[in-house]
Amino acid sequence: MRIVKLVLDHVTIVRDNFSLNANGEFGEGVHLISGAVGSGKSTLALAMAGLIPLQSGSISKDYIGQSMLSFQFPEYHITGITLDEECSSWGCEPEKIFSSPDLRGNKDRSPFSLSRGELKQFYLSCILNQHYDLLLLDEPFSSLDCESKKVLCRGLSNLTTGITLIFTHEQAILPRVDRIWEIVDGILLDRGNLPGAIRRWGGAPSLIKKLITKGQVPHNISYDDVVEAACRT
Amino acid sequence: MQDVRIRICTSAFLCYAAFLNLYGAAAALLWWLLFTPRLHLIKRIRPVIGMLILIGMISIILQAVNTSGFSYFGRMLAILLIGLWLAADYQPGEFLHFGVWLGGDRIGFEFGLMAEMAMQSVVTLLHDLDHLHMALKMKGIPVTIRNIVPMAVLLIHKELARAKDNAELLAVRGYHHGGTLKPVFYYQKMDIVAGFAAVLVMVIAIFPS
Repeated sequence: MRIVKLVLDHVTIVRDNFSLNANGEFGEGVHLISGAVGSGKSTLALAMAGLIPLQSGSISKDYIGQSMLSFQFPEYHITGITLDEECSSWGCEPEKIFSSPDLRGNKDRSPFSLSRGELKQFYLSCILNQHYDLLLLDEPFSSLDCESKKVLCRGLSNLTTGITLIFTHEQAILPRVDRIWEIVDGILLDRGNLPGAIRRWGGAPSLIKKLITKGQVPHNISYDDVVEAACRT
Repeated sequence: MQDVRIRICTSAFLCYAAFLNLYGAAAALLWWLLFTPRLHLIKRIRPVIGMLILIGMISIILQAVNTSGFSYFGRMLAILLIGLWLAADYQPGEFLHFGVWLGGDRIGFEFGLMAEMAMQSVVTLLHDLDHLHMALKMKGIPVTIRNIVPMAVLLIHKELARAKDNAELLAVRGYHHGGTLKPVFYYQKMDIVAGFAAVLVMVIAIFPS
């Protein structure tokens, strides 16, 4: 049986005056990697995608064929002149992508005519329509409104295979995840599987922390789970 | 080289010498080998390799047409490498200091600010280019002429958007013209030696025999 696995073996990444140490094993499922702004989330994502060199240590990928990194800024993904060309560059069937009400009739539009939020929605729908053994999402919630964030969370919960890593400092609307990791003072810390990880999560959203102190610990970190915990009697 | 005044004057002398004739170009290349970090510069600013290939192709065509390709390649190579050194040693803010030192608080400040904004655009462009390469790599798309078109459109689009933002920011902050600044410069003994050597290069170019 093929079990996909990403292993960071005493990895050290150095960029300018910043260094990050990471050690851990990422199995199939959705992983949340949280951390403050500037903590090194994007750097770690780039290293995991093999786009920047490591200072020391190694990254091994077991049975990972297709992998993808989604950048925080969607403009960096543009390689086509029209949305139709963009769609094809992701290997997606245009019929699937342009059947959504927001994009219907927009095949010939230039990607530059979209706002950053619209462009991000478009890319994320292209990415989530494909299968990747390793999917790295760098700040997928930035530039999105609340409704789009919820749509993205639903899309992420539909991923049943492969490793999905979400690098974010989002505090309000999050998807259901299997494991939480945290970058603190340049070190990647494993907070473990859900639901136990919630209590060990230092950078948890303030609402979740408040619920923990009241003894109403959510089963997971999604918006619905937090609402359920808050309404629990 | 720390002192931007010596660096700019040195670059001007060397480029002029390289432009004059092949003796000047050879002397400028020798200067570049002696006073710069050489290959480290090329590694830091990778697009220069593309420019070198382009100059090489033009030189081959010129050589085939009127046998001036070799001279063109030598002179352009020297000018490109000197420009590369000038850009690689750039420290944010130094062109503004240079502008005020040279032309005063009004016209000097204006030119210094323009040069500063242009240099920072180059730095941002290189950063954007790096990200675009990464995106192509992730999608498994090779760099072809057809793919370069949208990439170039993107870079121009972003640069224009940034220029508009900068202009609005200056207007919002009440910028009208000029400004006050006390220029500060630092130099090492080696700056003066390298500057003097650049003057010698120009003498060689003007009086080759």
